[in-house]
Amino acid sequence: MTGPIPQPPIPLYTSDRGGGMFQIPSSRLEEVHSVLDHHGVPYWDSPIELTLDGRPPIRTIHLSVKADLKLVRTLLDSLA
Amino acid sequence: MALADDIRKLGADTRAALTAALDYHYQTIAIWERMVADVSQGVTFGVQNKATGRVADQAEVARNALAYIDKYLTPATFQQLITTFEAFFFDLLALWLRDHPGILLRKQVELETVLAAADTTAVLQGVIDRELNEVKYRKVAEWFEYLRKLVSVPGPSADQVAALAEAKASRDILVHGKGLVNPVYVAKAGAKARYAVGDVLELPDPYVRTTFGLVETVVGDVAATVASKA
Repeated sequence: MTGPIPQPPIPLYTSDRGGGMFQIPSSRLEEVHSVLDHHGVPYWDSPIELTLDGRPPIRTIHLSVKADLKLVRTLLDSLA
Repeated sequence: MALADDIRKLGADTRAALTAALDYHYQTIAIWERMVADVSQGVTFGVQNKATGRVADQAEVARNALAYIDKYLTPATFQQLITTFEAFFFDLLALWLRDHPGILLRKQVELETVLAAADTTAVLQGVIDRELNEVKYRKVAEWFEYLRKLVSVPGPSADQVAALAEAKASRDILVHGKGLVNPVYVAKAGAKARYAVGDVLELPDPYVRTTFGLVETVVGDVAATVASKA
């Protein structure tokens, strides 16, 4: 059997005051920016790039309290 | 010469304090984000609050990381940047006034204050404190007008002063307004206002970085210029 290997969903952490954050490989930063920008999602990148135990670096994206978190969840699922 | 040295030291110490605050901010964010990444990779742990006995697991702590960064850490760092700038500015004015007490010759002092003071230096310090405390409650643009009455300095630019005024208005909303934008913020921030009345005031990282750069630049420029006139 062939086909794409299912990827686990990208965790989206949310706050009771609105807003959220998620982490992605730095290599996908431009792709994710493009999707968020296209859908008008307000966000900013963390200033930190994490390198964990030699694995590919990770960036955290922070979502504004004005971001539609349901939309972001859908977008992340489409990216995973 | 002593005054010039004191002003240069004040500027250098302030810039070092600003840098240390930002280093603490980013390195603390790195630790939180590292923890979130570890949890996403399957790391498990528990944190027990010994005061209440309650245990939070890794998922709860990871969820809380967002609030710890955006609701607590970043506002605290931002407030520290603005407070550090204010302390620099009014310490600078105090240094200048102590060295040029003639500027305050017309200020009135209660005889009771004079009699209670240890010496004339203490009387002068009391007058300076009272004078600057009154200036603190004015608009940021008026702070610089006050400085320019003491010593001729070209900067900062009107745009820099307006940006500082907006940053201070943001700080005031965080401290006094529960983070909700009110008409006072809009009035103080003027054309630089980032939000409308009723909005939640946020501190995106690019804004924090811009504010750090602004404050660091203004501190450096003002300290160098005023020191050169001392």
